[in-house]
Amino acid sequence: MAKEIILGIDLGTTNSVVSYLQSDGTVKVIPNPEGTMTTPSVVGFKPNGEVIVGNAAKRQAITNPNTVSSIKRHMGTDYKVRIDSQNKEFTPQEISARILGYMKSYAEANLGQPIQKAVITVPAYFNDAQRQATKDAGTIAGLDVVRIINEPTAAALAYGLGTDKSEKICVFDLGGGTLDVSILDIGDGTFEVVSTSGDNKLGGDDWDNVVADWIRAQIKIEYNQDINDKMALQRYKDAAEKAKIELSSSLEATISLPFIGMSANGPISFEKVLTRAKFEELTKHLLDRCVAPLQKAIQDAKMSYSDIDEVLLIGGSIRMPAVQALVSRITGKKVNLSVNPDEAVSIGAAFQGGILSGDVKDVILLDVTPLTLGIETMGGVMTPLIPRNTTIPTTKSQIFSTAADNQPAVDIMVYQGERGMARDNKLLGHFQLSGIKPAPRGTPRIEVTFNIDVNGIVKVSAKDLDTQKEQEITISGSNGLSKEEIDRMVREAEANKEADDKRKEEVEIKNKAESYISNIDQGLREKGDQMDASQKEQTQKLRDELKTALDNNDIATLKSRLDELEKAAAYMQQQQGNPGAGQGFNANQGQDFTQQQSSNSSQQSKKDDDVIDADFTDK
Amino acid sequence: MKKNEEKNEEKVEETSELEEKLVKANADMEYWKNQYYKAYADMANLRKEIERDHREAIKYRLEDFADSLLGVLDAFDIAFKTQPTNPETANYLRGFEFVYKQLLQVLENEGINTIEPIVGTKFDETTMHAVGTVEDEGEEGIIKEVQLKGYKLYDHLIRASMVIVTKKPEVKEENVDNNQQKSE
Repeated sequence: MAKEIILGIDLGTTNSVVSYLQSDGTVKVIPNPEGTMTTPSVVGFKPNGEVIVGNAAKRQAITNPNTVSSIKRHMGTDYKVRIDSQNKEFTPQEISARILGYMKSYAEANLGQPIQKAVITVPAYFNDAQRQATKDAGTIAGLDVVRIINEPTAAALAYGLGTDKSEKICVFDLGGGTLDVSILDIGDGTFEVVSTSGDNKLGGDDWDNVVADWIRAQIKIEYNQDINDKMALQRYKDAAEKAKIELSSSLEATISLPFIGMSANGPISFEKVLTRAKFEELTKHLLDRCVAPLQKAIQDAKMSYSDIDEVLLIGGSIRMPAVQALVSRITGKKVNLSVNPDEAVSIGAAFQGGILSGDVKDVILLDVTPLTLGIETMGGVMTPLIPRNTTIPTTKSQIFSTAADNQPAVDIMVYQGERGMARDNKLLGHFQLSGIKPAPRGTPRIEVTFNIDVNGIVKVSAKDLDTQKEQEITISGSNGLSKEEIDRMVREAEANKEADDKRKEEVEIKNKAESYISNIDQGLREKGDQMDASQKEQTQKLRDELKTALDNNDIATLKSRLDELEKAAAYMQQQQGNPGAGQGFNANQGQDFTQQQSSNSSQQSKKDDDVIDADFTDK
Repeated sequence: MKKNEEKNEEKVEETSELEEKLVKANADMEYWKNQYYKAYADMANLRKEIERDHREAIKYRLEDFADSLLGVLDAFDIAFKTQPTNPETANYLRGFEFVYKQLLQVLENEGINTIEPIVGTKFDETTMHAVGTVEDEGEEGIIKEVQLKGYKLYDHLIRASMVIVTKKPEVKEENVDNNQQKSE
């Protein structure tokens, strides 16, 4: 049985967005069939009776007088649109219903289940009639509108505000064509809109137009010719928008318009760099227009900027750094824009839907491991088994082996931390697995399993897969670290990453070198007689060089010689007729042991998955 | 007697207490069993969803790339619309036309296809964007001029083809204008 889903719909003047709360408590925006997250709020009635909505309706608007856009401006009034092709008059709610119906249908197709309910957002300044009309639109579209919420409230919800403390927030919403400023007072799960202000003729499009005009003027200066045909004007506008977007992340943008027009000397091509400074100078008058609504909202709320706890920026146009800087400067607050500004309102509506259906409090908050857990392997390297931020409960196994010939026991040293070398991390505990049958290094298979249960208790076990002998340890103190300690450990790991990586690489090179030396020694001992003299001498020489470099800790030489050694070792293996014997390690310390191919562990976990699946399907 | 009765009562109490515990334990078990299966079902569904998203992401990975290439492709098209008078320039242009065709072929191999409406056919809003109209006594909604080609990545529209279509010179237009003014 599929779970009931309540859609969150941002029914906008120019664009609309629909999303839903997933079972893990995160919100997903549903793309329309054309693959875009926002859908133009445009409805077209074709002569043949067909009704088209969204991008397609927008594209045919100019050819079809029976196309309606920006209907939101008329919600709650007795305005009617006459649609000649249907010989009928439509109310704004009937038109809006077409948009909602379209979004409902593609949401259903995307989610693969029927949907009955939705939360729809409206501007904070909407009156009762306008809210009722919006609700009616939903009903006509076959949606049970479980709640109408204010757009700034939705934005606050999207930012996760209003759950634990009371605060006053300012929502600054600069879209494509309108600016809305709202002051909210949040407390005890209630959201009160204290004041609203705005400019319904100011938006991102104005910035584009200024730049487009500038491009046209520049061409006129350069070529003494005003290129103003329809196509050129459209290209100016496109290039302007592109430059604006680029200037949000770069300090300059190159505007390139090849073959923009014709002159007596052939085609005219234009290219010019627009710096962010110049862009901001050109559009300063637009930015200045943002100030008054902000001040008015604060005045109307009878507050001062210092009363505001948080400033949220939404709407696509707040991506412009100058806008962010302005709001930040005026309010004296660091602005918050971590949620996608185009989707924030819809996301908040989906959260509201989740709260209403009881989903939000039902979400099981699973813990994650704050730091990586692993064991020490040969050369003091930290080998992670469970990376940090893994959701628990979890189990992870990996197969290791011995580092020395006839090694009777392995010491399992369990560490927690992000550093590359085990000793820089925190030792959580250790135990020994003994009784390993005498065997050449790399032959025994020892499976190490980390298991963290739902309470965060770590169990580490080691099992000799040949003898089935097993040993384990339970660690309960792994979560005893404070937030500060965890942060410090993560910071230290980041700070030392380069040095740690270098040390780890050196150890790995040395381990590899030792392995080859030991392998060659074995080869020479066992099959040396069968080799021809020159080959034997060459191999011996390489081996000695390597040993010297290893003893002198000369990593550079070790690295350069490893290539040659690899060839020699391959040759030895060929001679031995045993291609698999490349895993031997000559360990100085008995407790060191080595890691076998990781494919072992992935096979292991895959097998586990299958078992679980089978269990489930059986039921 | 009295003692016995008391004992019995105690027993009954004990039994009902145990029964209560059993019922609660059974309910608890059912609850957790359900939660357990639900978690796996969620996981299975999530896996399917992620696999689907992943396939889509791979299929449409070139979407942004195609979008950023539009300016280049348009520039080629616009350049080819000019008629060079000088034979040398004409030859150069011909060479570039071949380069352009090669480029289109490469894009086609990656699933990016051109939308090139034919003048005189009917306008189709699924692949075209009407950017202008011309008055025409003939049929309405007929493509009169293709300003820019459109592009598709498989079934996703990267950009609709920009076209100019016919419109009847009628009184009706005034009504339309009124309508639009009203809606502003």
